[in-house]
Amino acid sequence: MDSNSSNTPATAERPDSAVIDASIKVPVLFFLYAAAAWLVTASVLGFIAAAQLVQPAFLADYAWTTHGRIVPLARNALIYGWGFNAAFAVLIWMVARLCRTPAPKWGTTLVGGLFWNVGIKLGLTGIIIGQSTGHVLLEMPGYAAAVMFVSYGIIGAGVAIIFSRRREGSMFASQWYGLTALFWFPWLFTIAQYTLVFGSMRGTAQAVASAWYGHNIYALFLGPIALGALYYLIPKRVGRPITNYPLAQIGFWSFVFFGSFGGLATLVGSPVPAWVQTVGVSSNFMLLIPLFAIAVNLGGALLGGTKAGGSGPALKFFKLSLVSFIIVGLLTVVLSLPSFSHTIGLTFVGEALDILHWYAFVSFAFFGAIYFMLPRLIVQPWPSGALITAHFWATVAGTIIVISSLFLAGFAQGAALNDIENYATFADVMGAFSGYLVALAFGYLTLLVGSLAFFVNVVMAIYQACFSKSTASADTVFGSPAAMEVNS
Amino acid sequence: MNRGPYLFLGAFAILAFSWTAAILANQLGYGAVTPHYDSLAGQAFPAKHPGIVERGAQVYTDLGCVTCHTQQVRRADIGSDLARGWGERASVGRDYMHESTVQLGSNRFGPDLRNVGARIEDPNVFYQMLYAPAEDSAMPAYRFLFDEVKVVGQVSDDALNLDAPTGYQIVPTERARSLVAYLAYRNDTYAYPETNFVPTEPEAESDDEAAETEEGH
Repeated sequence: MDSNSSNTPATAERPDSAVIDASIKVPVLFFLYAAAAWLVTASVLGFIAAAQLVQPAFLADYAWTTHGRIVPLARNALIYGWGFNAAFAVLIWMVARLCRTPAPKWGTTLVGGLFWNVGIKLGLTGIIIGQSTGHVLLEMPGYAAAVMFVSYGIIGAGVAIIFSRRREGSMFASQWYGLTALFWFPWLFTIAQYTLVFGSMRGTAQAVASAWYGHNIYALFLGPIALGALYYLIPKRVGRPITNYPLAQIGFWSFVFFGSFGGLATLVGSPVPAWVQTVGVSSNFMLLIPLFAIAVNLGGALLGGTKAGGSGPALKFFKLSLVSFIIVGLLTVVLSLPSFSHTIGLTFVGEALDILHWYAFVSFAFFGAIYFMLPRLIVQPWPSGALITAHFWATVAGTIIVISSLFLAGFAQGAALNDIENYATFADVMGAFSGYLVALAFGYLTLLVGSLAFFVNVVMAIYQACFSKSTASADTVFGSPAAMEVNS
Repeated sequence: MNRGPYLFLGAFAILAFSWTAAILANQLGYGAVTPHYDSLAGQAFPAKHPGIVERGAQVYTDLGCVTCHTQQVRRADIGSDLARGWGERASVGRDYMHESTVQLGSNRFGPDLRNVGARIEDPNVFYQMLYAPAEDSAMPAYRFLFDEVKVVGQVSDDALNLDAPTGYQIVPTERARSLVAYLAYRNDTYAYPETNFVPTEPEAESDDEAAETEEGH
């Protein structure tokens, strides 16, 4: 691959951007609405689950709302509801823009999107009424998975059609990430359903398959799409292209290769073959390579940016997302060292790392991308600057509180579990860390406030787009990228 | 990397490799593990689960008990599992071979349940825990697994010795019975040939754990 400037996305908006945006506007706005609605749902469920840790009697009288069902509901709503819908929106828009190709038609993609969300609702209902399969991120019963699989195929075919008609010859880093993720998910999903839901592997091989799949939803789908969005939008937003493309290539291939084994590291100490655990831990160490490559690529663009007015919400979320990506990469390595992993295994630290991956890195990248793309799609600024501010600060504060309380709880829990002299009974162990769980519930409540602000803003924006006709193009409405993000 | 086919070929190779190593290799490696036939005892271990235990496993799965309870005893050099009496030995893969849904779990918000049937022998203790957990317990009550039945004439044989409003008795549902049967069945005591290679006492600093353990036994 040559590293001349034609390989980086042009920093100026193409003249045909408005046509491309108009061709995908309806399905993308639908995905954004669905994503924001699921985010609120997931935040409510997350808060209920955290409150139940503090107050076990809360909503415990019905099987439907018992803690063991609320937790998978919250997790599935967050990943398949918010994460996937947001990923579809970002992916469709990014691929159409980078291929400089309008979508031939949007009706089928919209139908696929509707059925994807019907599938999730079926699946969550299945969990509520007691049909959970019991495997992390595969709890939804098989019939719901079948609906999701077919609708994913329809949505994915729409993206593939745009790609096959592309007018832009070169492929950018964002497309490597986005298109390969698009291709990997159905494969991963099929393997997982076949080995765990429709068929069944024997014994603890199930645990290996489950850990492999659960982590790859991050490492081979949501993570790559988030990185794709960062690779596309950070250079665009700061007006400085990615300069070192060979490094981007190394970053891409090593991230997906080593990332695909990362889930196995969660099985340290479990009754699975020792080599499985070793492969997982060593892959986590090898992830330092893409961590370095990606940090240099994106950090370089951020630090060397020239464009003024770089303070919109999109850029703030991109910066925090990149910082979280670096933090979680380093923490994963440090916590894989035996002196740590023997303490934090089977504690809340695992959940803390998950929230770092899914929320602080992936979701922040999606938030930034949505703040950037939605005004361009509706050719109007965001309806409320105050709601943007509320969403940003509540989300940042909530994420920090949730992650730090989970880490503190997990370390105290692990230390107490290993210290049998001072914490002889399980009630003693609980006493060592239950205080942090109050902070956790408060953190989830803060996240809920942020999600509501975001949801209201998205709904208002879509409402505006439907009921106030604007014939102007983005170029005439907005002077600068920053002007598109805030309603000034 | 400007050409789609190379990208997809690479993407295919990566997932194919990851799948081969993580899924296929394990399936071939121990996916076909068989029970161990003990000629002295005249039976194979682990034994197949009775029907009520299998139904209890479904209750355990659909209520999401795995959210707070693990079912795995780790080696002595990794955690305090053995010291806490959560098992006589570390769990091995073969222990799980008859389980339709393996529920290893990832967070110990509650105690490990792999051998809870060895620790608690009286089923009434399980019923008590599910109906009205101890004051200092973080576990919710599972009242929906019990029926509050008006006493008409004699008290039912199935009624539990639990705090009931006057004139009422507490009767476990079929789901509660299955769940308790499942919990009472959690007991891995049989020593397979491979369990002798798992350290049961914390080892001194050593590079060759397997050799040390063999000497130790």
